Amino acid sequence: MSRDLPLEQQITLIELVDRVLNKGVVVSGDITLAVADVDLVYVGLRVLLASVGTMERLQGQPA
Amino acid sequence: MLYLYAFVRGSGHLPDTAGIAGAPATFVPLGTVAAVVAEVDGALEPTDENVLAHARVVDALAAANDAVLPVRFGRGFRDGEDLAAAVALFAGELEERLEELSGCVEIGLHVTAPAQPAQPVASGRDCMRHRLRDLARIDTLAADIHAPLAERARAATRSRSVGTSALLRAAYLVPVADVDAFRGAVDEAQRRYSELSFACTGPWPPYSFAVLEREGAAA
Repeated sequence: MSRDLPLEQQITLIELVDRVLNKGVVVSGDITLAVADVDLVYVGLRVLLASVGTMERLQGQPA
Repeated sequence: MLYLYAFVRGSGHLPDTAGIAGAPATFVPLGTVAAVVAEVDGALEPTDENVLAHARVVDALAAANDAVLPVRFGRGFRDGEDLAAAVALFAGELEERLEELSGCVEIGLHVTAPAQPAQPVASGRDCMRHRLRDLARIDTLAADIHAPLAERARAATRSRSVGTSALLRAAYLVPVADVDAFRGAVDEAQRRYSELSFACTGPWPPYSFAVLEREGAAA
């Protein structure tokens, strides 16, 4: 994410990533444990960490 | 693998939008609801591109349907049978949630305070006391801002702040027809608390309100 983006746009990007990765219904659960070979998608934290990093930088900027 | 984007009503519309890896989304009817999925090869990395593609499909669904229940990024199933078995656990609840979210969008709110210069304090104990007082003040202020907005919304939720300067991070479920009035209420709050910075985001598909009661048991 670029530092050149306006603040509102940066917040929107952070909010988007947070929603897609951390919100929304979860429908694996019980069945994932019951069926061992379900090809569960790997979800890492790279994007989220990048977004937190952006937030930290925003705090350093004058309002 | 069947990659799952969202649920819509069985009678819903499927927009023509390329999703993750350019794969077209399809409907899998499951009783009165339909799962929106795409056939994707192998495991998925949460790259910017994949996350944005997920968001794009959910956005397109929200634009084409009265009700959409977004699914969290990264849910895949071996085949239609596994998907149906997983969804069977939530039979009935998906339909209820779709009903509740129907005609509504989510508005996000970020309220931030300007950074305070550090106060010189005499002792560690005083420092702790100051911090606790600050935290209590911030909590009260956030609640004062949040409560009247929550009252205007169909539902509301507050989330943990990302970073320390965010005073309030919240999401509000608002009927499409009330979005302008709701934004007006946020503008009003901005005028009242002029030293704070209000940023409204959205309208979003109702990600923050796509919660199933059984999730806790299933996690």
